[in-house]
Amino acid sequence: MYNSYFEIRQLWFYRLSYFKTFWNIIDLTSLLLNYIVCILDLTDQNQQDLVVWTAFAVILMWMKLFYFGRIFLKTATTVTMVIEITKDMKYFLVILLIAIAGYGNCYLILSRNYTGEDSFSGETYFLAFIYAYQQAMGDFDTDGFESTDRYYLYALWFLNVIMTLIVLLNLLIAIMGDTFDRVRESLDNNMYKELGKQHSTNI
Amino acid sequence: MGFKIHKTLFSTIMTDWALTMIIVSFIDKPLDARTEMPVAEESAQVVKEVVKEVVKVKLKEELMIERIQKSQHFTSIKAIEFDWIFNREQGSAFVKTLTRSRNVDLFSIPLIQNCIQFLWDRFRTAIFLYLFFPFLLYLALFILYATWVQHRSKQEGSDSKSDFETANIAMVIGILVF
Repeated sequence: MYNSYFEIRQLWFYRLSYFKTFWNIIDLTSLLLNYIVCILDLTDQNQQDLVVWTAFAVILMWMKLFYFGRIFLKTATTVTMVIEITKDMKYFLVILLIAIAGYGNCYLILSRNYTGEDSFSGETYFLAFIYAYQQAMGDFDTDGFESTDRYYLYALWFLNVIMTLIVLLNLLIAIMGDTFDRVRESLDNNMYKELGKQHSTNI
Repeated sequence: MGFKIHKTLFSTIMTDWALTMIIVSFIDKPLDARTEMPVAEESAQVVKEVVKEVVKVKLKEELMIERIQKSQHFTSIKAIEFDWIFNREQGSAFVKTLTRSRNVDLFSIPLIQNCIQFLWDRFRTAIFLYLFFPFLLYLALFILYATWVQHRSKQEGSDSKSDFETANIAMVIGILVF
């Protein structure tokens, strides 16, 4: 009730522009999820559904706590830094996902010649995507490559490691460094902006 | 004659302080060395005393000026007419437009900084009191419920199942009311 009052008040004041702010949507979704969890629990609904709803409700609550870091002068900069880095890496993420999707697809097709019980990349495209992602993050499990296409598989693995792990992830670090410098340069300005945002969102 | 000369000097001292210091050092030298004119020793002594008296006064003034200068602090007073910022619609629209701007350099303008700082000083306590602390309480309650109480209340074969069920219902109601 207490939290709902603040959200309804903001909704009333900002009308449609309330939905233009990402954190307002998080606040509203978190509130709705909490209500859903409570109602599901009180009405003794399916336990498995309840667990899933609860897990999502909890992560949103932690996100809200993270965002409250803006009201402390010491943590406001770090919160800004994380938000700005996340914003700046959106195009990079698209490129990374395209690369992983491509390698995952290739692994899935090559796994059809695999004669063992369980295919190294999984039977579905989703599993193959996860397999390619794990490789890109440094999981070098090549045990399943011992098939007729092992040379192709090793070549593909090599390319995946070079392209995603070495080139793309180092590019990500460079992007983060740029963002870090940009935010550091205008440290005071960003702090005032955060304080202003906090005021305009809540008052 | 000598007295007249020194009288002229005296008037100069009165008008120009910097020159006074030069003249005082000049007077300290033997009189003959200065003018080569015969000057009565007595009148010279009088002039010397007068000048010294003047210098003494000046030194006092100087000390006073120094003291004043030391105690002076430069204070810049800025007056910004922004009572409209308390007008809910105008004030909020102003801050909202500012924060939505992608140009962070706007916040380097002292006027903007003063406005934000003023607003923040005014509303910080309210944000802590009415938003942050209640949220912390709500978060603690929800995390406790979601992580522990909910799970334990559904666990079959537990001795304390009924206790946890009661606690679960109480916490759910608490969360709904909060």
